[in-house]
Formats: sequence, structure tokens, C-alpha cells
Amino acid sequence: MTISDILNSEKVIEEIKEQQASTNSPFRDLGGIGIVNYGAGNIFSLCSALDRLSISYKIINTVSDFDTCERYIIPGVGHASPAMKQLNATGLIPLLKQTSKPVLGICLGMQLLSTFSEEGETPLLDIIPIKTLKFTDKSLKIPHMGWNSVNAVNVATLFKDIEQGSYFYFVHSFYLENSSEYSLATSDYGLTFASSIQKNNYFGVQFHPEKSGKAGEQLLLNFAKL
Amino acid sequence: MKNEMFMGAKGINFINAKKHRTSPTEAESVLWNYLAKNQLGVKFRRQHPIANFIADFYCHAARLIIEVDGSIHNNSEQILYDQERDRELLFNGIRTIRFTNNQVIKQTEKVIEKIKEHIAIANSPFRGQGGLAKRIIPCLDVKDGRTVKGINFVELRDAGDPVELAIQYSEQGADELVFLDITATHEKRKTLAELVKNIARNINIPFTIGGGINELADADLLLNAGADKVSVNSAAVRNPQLINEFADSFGSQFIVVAVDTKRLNNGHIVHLNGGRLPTELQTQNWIKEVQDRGAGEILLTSMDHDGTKNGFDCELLGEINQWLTIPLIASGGAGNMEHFAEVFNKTNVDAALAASVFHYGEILIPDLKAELKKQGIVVR
Repeated sequence: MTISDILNSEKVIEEIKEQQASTNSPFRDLGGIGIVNYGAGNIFSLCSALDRLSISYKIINTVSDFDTCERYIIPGVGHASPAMKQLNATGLIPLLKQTSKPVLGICLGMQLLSTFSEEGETPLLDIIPIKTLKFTDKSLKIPHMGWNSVNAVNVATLFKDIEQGSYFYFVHSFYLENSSEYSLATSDYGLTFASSIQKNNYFGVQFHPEKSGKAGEQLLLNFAKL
Repeated sequence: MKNEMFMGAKGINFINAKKHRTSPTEAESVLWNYLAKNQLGVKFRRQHPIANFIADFYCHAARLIIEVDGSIHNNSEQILYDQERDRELLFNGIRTIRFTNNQVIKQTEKVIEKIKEHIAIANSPFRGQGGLAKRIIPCLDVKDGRTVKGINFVELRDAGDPVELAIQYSEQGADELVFLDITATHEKRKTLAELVKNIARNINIPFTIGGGINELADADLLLNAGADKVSVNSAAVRNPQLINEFADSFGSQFIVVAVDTKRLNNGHIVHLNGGRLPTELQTQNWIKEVQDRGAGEILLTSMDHDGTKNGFDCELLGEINQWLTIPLIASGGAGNMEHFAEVFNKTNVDAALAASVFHYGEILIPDLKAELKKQGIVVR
């Protein structure tokens, strides 16, 4: 992160807070989502998507913000190793690991739920016992960027009312290994990988629901209702 | 040949495989009804010994294994074993796709579709696309916060409002949008950031911003305002190190390098200022260089084809896409739907971009997607 990154993201968060204050929003509506803000990537698009859907949310920066939320989103883009360090610095990791409320990791946020990433050989949260691996198939372009189809294994929760095979928007170079125990949905890019995972109250999606058209919006709505 | 097909499988595997073949599971029998006797156009074998493993179904022509997994594969040790096996085989150029018994029995058609897709990918003369859809990208020119070039949508209240236009395109099924800011002056850039925020608030697909991005702070401002990618063109030519700086600061996936190319003395030469100013750079060399410097995507506009409506420069795009390891967006020359089909079929580019054919309503995106789908091109 550059200094201007930090300044800018603070500025954006200030604006989001102002917006919330002006609409009197925190938890007036469906949702009650706490977005874990640890500085890994931009959350403006995610907040915008939640606004469009009238899903209420607040930004969680520290431990004291944690309890009032009904569910949590761990966003994130970037490199696994600095992201883990930054998340650790918030002091939120023990709370995230103990909570029984629904948690949704998005993109890198999903990978953080796994045990380990080949990206920088980084130990992760180890909430779901699978690994994050690097795409090695030389015949495919890396990063895996664009719209790929997603097949849900279970359509009762996150993928409720979403047509099988719907396209979602992906941008990533590392993937979560497919597992018949924890894959909630799979996609193919040279091999079959877990495009969504679940263990108990913990969910993850590799794609960006906030950038994935109507299907992505439905998924965010589904999460807000879990 | 024989060796390659079995990858040195041992005798015991052949004996076991034969045993499995006489007692297939229900799901295996269901699937075999579709795979047997070249029904999908390629030969599949049942219980095929390969290296130290036995594949449930194997197609040598497509180097494709299909595994149908029962509940034993839920066991965590088994999962690890499966993963290890799939990776080892992939390393040798053989892909494994896995379905559960349930999927095969209850969603047979979907499973067959998936298998067909994999066979098609394997048979393509080009690099695989691995399930990714081809992207259709309308490009909007913006000046002082307003779209320029005529826009001919009857539904629009304000044809000059980039936000309203963006919403319109995303609802029509555009996969991504590119906004090129042609505002000349630096002081107007703050207005651009406001516009970007407004776009991000209102659309649910990714978008790229280009034009006048000369330094880290410019890109930073736009990415924080909600842009998914920034595109650089002349600034990268003037200072190639900029690409490295951007890639290091934000990650490659945020950096699109736009290249305008024009034929000159039998070569392809990078041009600036909308094709008016030739550089010293050979187009292919320059694209190779920006890829090495960390660009995440190339937007290649052929100035010879741009505005002609005679089709994309398939020859050049195809040549470049053979060796390029990052996504390539084709631009310049789209005049009808067939041109899009042609550029995807002939060059396998990842995306195609156009402006006026969309803005003037000459091609409607839903029609274009339906046509591409009809021709077997994977679109969203």
C-alpha cells in the first residue's frame, strides 16, 4: 500500500460513513453486514452494490465495531501475505474465528478462510481445511479474468434463485482446490476449482458478486437473508 | 503411442480396471450411455489405466479424464489423493473433470454439455479459454463529463450522460465497459473521479477508465473511485517504467495497456495521437515488452481498420494472440455481427470492443450475443 492508497481509502470510507449518516442507514434495512476493513483493496464497488440493493452495512475497523453486526463480509484483492498481516493488525481474527454468524469471504477474502496459500507460502486463517494453489496450466492465460460459469453443488443457500451455470466475474491467479466436502460451487479453468466454498456459517466466493450483474446481486441478497 | 496412452501403467492396474469395467456404478452406466461409440465425436474408454491410476473415462484425443465420484470421495484423505492425482496428470497435459454421482444422474444434460465444452476446447487449434466467456465491450468517449459521438438510443432521456448510458449497456448484457476520457486539461481530472464514482454506484459490471493517466496518483484516484482497471497508452510509450510501477503498486490485473497500431512500410508500428503520430516501436515488440513489464491486458486498436466497418484486423490479432499470455481485446473495424464471430473464431481473442455500431443501435448486444451463441461461441 502506498500512502495515497491509505489516504484515499480513508477518504472513501469517510464518504461512505457520511452517506450512511445522511440516510440514517445502519441496520435500518435487511442485512446488518459488517464489512471487515483491513486495507486490502477497494470496497467502494461492494458498498455501492449493497446500497443499490438496500442492504444495510457498516465498516468494521476494530474489535469494538464487531458485535453489533449480524453477518460479516471479508473483501479483498491483492497478495495473500500482506493481506494476512493487515488483517492480523486489526485484532479481528479471533472474533472472526469464533463467530457463529454468517461470514462471506470475497475473492482474496475467500482464500483467507483456507489453510494455506501458495502465494508467498502464506499460512491463512485455517477456518476451512483446504489449500489455495496457483494456476499452473501454461495453455491458459493468467490471471483468470472474465466471466466464467458457476455450478452450485447446493442451491439452498447462497445460490438460491440463481440459475445453474450462471456467469460471474472473476479476477485471480490463485484458486481454491475443489473438495467434495467444502465446495459450494465449482468452475472450470483448465481444471475444476472451488468457485464457492462453505463450512458451517463460513462462506466464500472466488468471483466478485458486486461486479457480476444480476446473478451477483441475487447472491448478495441471499447472503443478507442467511 | 501405446505407452503415451497408458503413461506406463502397471499390469495390476489393467487387472483391476477390467474388474471395475464389469461392475459399473449406476452413475457410470448412465454416463457411458452417452459416451460410448463416439457419440460425442471422440472415442472414450471406460476404466482406463493411466500412470498409477485408473480413470473412470478417458478420451485420448482430448487428453481428458472424467471422474464420477461417489461418497467415498468426501473423505478428506481421499480428497487429498484426488487433488494430487489431478495435478500430477495435468502436469502431463491431461485434464480431469469431476462430477458427483448425483450430478450425473440428476443433471445428466448439464454434465454432457460440460464434457462437450471440454472436448471443444481440447480440439481448438488455439490456446484454451477454460470456460471463460468471450467478452463484448462497448467503448464510450467522454469529454468534460459528457459522452461524445452521437448516441442513438430511443430509451435514453439524456444521451450525453455516461452514467445513464452505462446502465443501459449493462442491462443489455454488455460484459464490461471502457470509458476513454478525452478531456484535455488536468484540472478537469477531479471531475472524472466524480464521474467514475457515479458509474461505480450505478452499474454491476466491471469497467475500465483510460485517457490522460500519466502517473500513479491518477490511477490511484480512479481505482479508489471504483474503476476496475485503468488503461494507459501514450504515457506508457513515453515512460515504459510506468507499467512496472503500476503493476507493483496495484497488481497486474488493474493495468490495461492500450496500443494503437498502423501499417507503415510493410510493418506494424505503434502510433500515438489517434494514429496521427508514428513511433519507433514495432507493435509486436512493444506488446511483448509491456507484457513483460507487468501489463494485465492488451487493448489493441488497428487504426487501419478503425472506422472502416470492414471487420477487425484478424491477421495481426491472431498472430499476437498465439504467443500472448495475458488477455487481448480486439478493437477497430467492427461493422456487423459477423465481424465479431469472425474475430473470435479466427483469432480466439478474449474480448471485442466497439463504439459506434453499439451507440448508433446498428448492433444490439442481445442480438449479437444470440448470434455468437448460435455459432458455438461461448458468451454470457
